[in-house]
Amino acid sequence: MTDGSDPLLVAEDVKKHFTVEQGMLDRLFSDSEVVHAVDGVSLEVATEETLGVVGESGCGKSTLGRTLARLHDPTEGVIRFDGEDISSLSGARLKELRKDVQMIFQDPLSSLNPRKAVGEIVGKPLEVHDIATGEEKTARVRELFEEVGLNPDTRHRYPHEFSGGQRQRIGIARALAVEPKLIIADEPVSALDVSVQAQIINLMKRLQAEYQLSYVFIAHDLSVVKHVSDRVAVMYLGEVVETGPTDDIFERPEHPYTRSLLHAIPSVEGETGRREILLEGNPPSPIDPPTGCRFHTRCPEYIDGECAKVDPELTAVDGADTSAPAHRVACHWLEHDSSERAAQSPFDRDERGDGAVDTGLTDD
Amino acid sequence: MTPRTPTQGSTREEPLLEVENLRTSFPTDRGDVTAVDGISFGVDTGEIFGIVGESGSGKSVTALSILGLAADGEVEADAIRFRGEELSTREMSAVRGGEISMIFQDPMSSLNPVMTVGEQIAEVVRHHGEVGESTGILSELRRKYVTGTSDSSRSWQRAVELLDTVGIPDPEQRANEYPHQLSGGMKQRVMIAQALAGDPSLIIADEPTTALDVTIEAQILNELFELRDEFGVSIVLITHDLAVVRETCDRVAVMYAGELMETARTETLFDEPTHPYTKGLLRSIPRVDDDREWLNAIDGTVPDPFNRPSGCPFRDRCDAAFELCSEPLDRYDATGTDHEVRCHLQHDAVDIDDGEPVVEGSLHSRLDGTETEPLDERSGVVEPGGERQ
Repeated sequence: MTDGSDPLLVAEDVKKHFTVEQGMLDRLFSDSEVVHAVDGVSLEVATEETLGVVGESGCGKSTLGRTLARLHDPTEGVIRFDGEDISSLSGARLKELRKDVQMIFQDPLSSLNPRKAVGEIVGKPLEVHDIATGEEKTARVRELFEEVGLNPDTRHRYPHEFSGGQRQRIGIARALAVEPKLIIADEPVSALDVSVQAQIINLMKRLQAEYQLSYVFIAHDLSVVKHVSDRVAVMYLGEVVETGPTDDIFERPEHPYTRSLLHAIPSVEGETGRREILLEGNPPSPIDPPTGCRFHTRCPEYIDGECAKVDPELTAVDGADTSAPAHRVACHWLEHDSSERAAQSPFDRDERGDGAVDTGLTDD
Repeated sequence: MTPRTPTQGSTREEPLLEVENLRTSFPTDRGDVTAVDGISFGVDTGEIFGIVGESGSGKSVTALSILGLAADGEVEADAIRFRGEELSTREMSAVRGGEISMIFQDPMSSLNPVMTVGEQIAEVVRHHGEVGESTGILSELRRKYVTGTSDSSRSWQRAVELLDTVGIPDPEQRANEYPHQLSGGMKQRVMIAQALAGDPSLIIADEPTTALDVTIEAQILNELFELRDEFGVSIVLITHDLAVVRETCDRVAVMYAGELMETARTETLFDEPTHPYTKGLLRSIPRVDDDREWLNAIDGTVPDPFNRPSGCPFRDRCDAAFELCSEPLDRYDATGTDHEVRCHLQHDAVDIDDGEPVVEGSLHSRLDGTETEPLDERSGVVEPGGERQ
């Protein structure tokens, strides 16, 4: 999918920082606090590819999505879409970009205007971008409704009259109206029930094939991300800590954080019983992120003297080529011998006996 | 296999909590909405019992009805027994918060934002525990608005102890913090500490981990396990997440449109799901270890509460629906013990012939001899793409 052709979307060292609102005296006498929501993310998305972005809440994945869609202005870094630098577009040129890049939001009820009939909501982008008006618009709206599995005759109803799954279909129809090349979907199924979630995931996959869409699929549910993505980026505290083809990430995870996350997934198959907890505590604040590797405060494979000092760079793992879509990891363990790691890692040991790693936070 | 009453044939001892034929409806402008439609179940001592269902299935209303907290709802039941004794609404309010307590889904909206967490827990300790501190309205008002609970009082010390029990680091200091100063996982731990304050023997936890990340979810679920193991507390876990049920619960009830479709031991439910709805749910979940191109979604949506179909509420979405499905549901025994299914496919007079249910003569004539509707291949689910798997 990535061979030869240039990727559709490229982000290079993108940062998005927010300044925390403070009182006047604070502003006069001290530096204001800065939330490092996205702090140097590089990634790329090829045509018709789905890039899954996973991470815990607060890791900056939604901010990244909004920045890529240019709903936020990046603080630093370059975003290229179809070869063009879009990081500082504004006005008419930004509006042009909206025809190519659309978003689907988590909560369809709060992202659909409650006072507008859903047909109007779906038809609005056609009007705004001078794609269709009048009869032509109505016909196109009917077509879009059918495309996403809604009865076109319901287009005069209001958002509250629809179920959660149907509302998400409306959100998808609206995004689809301008025939975009890239859709950034921020937790599109996490508010939905499992049976409906499967309907929406299937719908998104069918539309992808039909319209040659690329997706950036942001979610916290790893099973869903595994199912939809060609490649995955794992985020922690504003940074990508591991990225690569989906199978590599799920079958040969390298970063301790990725391994912890995969370890924590409950399953409806396989062995039952309690999940072993390898990740204690909560992520630190993005206002004052830890020095060195940001994960070192919770890492079950912490290396004394290294992790807290130097922030590791994304490096290709052994066997992967060095190009961007390959399997890359930001972890100091890559600089070490794998046998050395196996001796310490709680993930590599078959039996966790006497040498079990104490994360120091277990309750006693 | 014949329909049976809940107590018959059960090998278990008398349950701690027993609910018989609970019905809850809410009057609205458009008529009554039946949220819970005649459900029965029991929870044993030291058991974690799961109620799993999609949103709107009535699982939360079930919990609220048992506790007498279903505001505006009309709750009817043949019996709600706790420790074998029937509880009236009045008695329930004495038990509530003490012997039976509840953990809510969203701790931010269930904790008081203007009281420190220690204060909130200490208040429950005073009202339900035997600490010998005045709970008169004046002394509570004084504590709330003037002095706060004294650090040396037993209720405060117990609050700190409980925060420690649920794994909150620096409990002395944390007790003085307000809910907004704590993370989501910490707030949920505070809720659990508060639920523990009355020394409960049963905790009803309504989606306790839904708002949390997987890593934090694992921590909170382990906390619930420990409560059961250390204090022998029974837990009713209400959730939409089958994976959470599977790793946590001893027995599970699957709820759909106000009815319990299938109740079984957890292993049985996941290894031998019998109700078409349970099967459909299990197939629709994406798994980390599967390579399916398309997920097997259950088509359609839950029935409109104002316009429920007669008989089985799932029949409009069910691949296996046949003529009997419009008849009121009955309870049938399925494989093994403690496995109940409410699906007419389990009726004695129904045989599966060549993938199609065949109804025996006597029953058939009772039903006016309607044509048997064709039944899709039992495991078949139609994909949006049109392929059949």
